[in-house]
Amino acid sequence: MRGKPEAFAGLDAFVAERGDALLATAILLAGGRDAGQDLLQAAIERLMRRWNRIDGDPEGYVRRILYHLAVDTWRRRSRRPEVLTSLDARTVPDVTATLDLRDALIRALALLPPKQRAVLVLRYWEHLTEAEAADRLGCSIGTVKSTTSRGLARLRELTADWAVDDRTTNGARA
Amino acid sequence: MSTELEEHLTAAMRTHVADARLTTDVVAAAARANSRRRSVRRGATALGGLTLAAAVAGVVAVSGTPTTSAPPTAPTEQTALKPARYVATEVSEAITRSEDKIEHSTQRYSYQGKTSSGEDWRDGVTGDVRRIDVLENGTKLEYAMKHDGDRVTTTTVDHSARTWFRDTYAANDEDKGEVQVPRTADEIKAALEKQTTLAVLGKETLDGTETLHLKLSGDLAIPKEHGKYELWVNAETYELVRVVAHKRPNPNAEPAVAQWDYTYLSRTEENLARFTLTPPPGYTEQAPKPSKKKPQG
Repeated sequence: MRGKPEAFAGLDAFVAERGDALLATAILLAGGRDAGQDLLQAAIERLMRRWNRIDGDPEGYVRRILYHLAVDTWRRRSRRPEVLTSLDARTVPDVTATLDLRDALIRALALLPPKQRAVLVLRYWEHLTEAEAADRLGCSIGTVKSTTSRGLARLRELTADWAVDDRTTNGARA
Repeated sequence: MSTELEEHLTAAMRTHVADARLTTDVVAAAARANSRRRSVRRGATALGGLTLAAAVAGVVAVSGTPTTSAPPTAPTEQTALKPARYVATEVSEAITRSEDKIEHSTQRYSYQGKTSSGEDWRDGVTGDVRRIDVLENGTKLEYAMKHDGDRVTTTTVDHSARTWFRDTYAANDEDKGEVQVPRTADEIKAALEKQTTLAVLGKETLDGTETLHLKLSGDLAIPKEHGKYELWVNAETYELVRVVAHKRPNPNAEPAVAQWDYTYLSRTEENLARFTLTPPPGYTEQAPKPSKKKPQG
């Protein structure tokens, strides 16, 4: 690392140990691998600004930053029109024919507003309780509940052609 | 349906990122970004006179958001108008960083020779609020709003009348009230991200703190001809230090002037205890008033 290595003593080891897990979360939050890598880099950069002032677990700090950056990105992008592509099989018949439900869910997850995506990642990837998710995001439990409900409803809507009830065990269309 | 969908979602996430591996040196990349940011900050500090020149030469329209995905470039002599955008970005980021703290502000409000004052605390994590108002007639009011799950409880104490009342309602029914002027960190951040215009007027020292004096105009609640909106931020950390708003009922009227001075507190047990308001003994409890509006600053 260039600059002042002593100022960031232990950072390399921390990233080496927890980097892959943090990247996994970042990918889910950002909706893509490249975007996830960028998001994690931005979070690490924030971490470096406070590396010597963090009390306790740096991973908790990084995860909090990841979620806030992800949601802030949503706030900024919400002012610009976005073209959301439905996963309706009629528009992409050749692709959906080979997709299983879980592929469709990941694609649909990437289409959600980042705040909904962040809440779903907290609840179903990190398995946090509603109270823990609210604490992580700095919002009320009620907000977590309503955002989770809206996110799941939107996923269900986007993957309507892949109704869970009609799945075989591997998620393929029955 | 939901349960099965949730199970599939968890499995889908697990499968999707099972092979996630860092393939680039993210620490080195972050270090480079951090180094660039520090260079920009040093440049901005060194160019204090230049920021004033920027204000004189014209102001910078902060179109859309100050926190665009493209990082602000260093304010060089060739790009004299960059500092305002850079400052807007830093202020917005400082507000984001303060979200895990308690925002404390004192307020002074004057209009037609009469003054009132207030002091409040806002927990950026829970949204809890504690407020003390001293009205122009000397009446002292205390107010607290606490969130508990999806419920909100407000307690209001009127020390002049020696009365108090408490109200509880669903968090979704919480009336945020109309934002007259941006005064909380969230409102100021939102204003920065609107189609606003930011001018860096220069450096000033307030109570021993070196600050940048900024002026915000554009898509605000204050029409240009009715007043002005200025803020001071810490020149090093970009945290809010002061906001002053001048607002006239009409262009020819004397302005009402409101000033807020900010500090940011850690969420210590002692500081969090401020959000619990217990009516003094001997005060009379009254029925909650119909309005659920919280006091506006």
